[in-house]
Amino acid sequence: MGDRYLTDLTDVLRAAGLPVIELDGWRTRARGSGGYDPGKPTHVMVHHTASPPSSSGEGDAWYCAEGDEDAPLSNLCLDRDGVWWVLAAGATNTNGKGGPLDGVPADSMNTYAIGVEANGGYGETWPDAQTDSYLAGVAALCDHYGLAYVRGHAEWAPDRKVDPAGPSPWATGNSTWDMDDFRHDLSEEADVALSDKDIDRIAARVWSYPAAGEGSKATRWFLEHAYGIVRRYLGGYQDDSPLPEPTMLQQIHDNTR
Amino acid sequence: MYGDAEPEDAWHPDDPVRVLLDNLSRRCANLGEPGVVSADATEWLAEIVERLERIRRRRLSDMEQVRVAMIAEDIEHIRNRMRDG
Repeated sequence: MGDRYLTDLTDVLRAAGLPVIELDGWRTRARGSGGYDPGKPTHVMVHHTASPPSSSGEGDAWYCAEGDEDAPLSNLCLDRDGVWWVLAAGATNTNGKGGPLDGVPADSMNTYAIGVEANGGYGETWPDAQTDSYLAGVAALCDHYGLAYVRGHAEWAPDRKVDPAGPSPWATGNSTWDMDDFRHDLSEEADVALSDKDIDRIAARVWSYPAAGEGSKATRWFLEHAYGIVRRYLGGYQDDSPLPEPTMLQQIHDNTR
Repeated sequence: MYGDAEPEDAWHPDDPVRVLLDNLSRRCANLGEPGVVSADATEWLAEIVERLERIRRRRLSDMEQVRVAMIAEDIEHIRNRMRDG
């Protein structure tokens, strides 16, 4: 049984400028195995509740915290107004059977992840306030706890789960969110690992990188986007550093795969 | 009110056997095989196996087949845990 409880969850989210509501007892609430083991959590897991539009943020939060037989069902609940409800500081029953993935053994994600449930996914369009807050909150969690992975529930358990899903910046219709796109948007806010799609985008530009001094549109794109991403997430460069050579980027690309 | 919650989401292979058995029991119930469970873990597991066999004899949707296969795997896991002490 782990003894690490994330009792600074509220501080992390508030420091990111996000609205927070604390549910009584959250600092000691956990699944049966208790808190996290040393070195964990390593992941943020992104979910939706599949509760209907008539459901309230407070109602879903209490249900996730105490209402279900398997509660707590998540550490955090994100309502349609972008408010973060803090439910549990210990490990929770959010992910269950699935995997293995990212070094997490099969069926073990509950003790590796901060679980986030967002009110929605029942066919309604996700409000901007909620999706913006989703990115900002997950980014803050990754930054503060040094988490390297952000995954959707459907990535962990593709045989039985579709969430998160529904009309949003990351999906059309009721399809499952493209989590590579979610992570790409997240990479603008948090120090998380580059997704394969990010790397492909960088690589595609780097391979066509023109000779220095040409000042082409591709060069400007590279300066504004790809180089910034590489510099920020892989480190070692300062704002006034000279542009890395394509061979260096090739190494970064290979090492990041 | 809340459609995403499933007993499968609470499964963790390192949990105590009693917790795992309770989880399996509820997963069987979700497949239409509710039943009384015994106090003794060995008998409880035997009951779950019987319920799984009844489920398997029915016509199952693709998703139900996936869930039945997961239950079968987890019965094996629990049996090994009980055997290994």
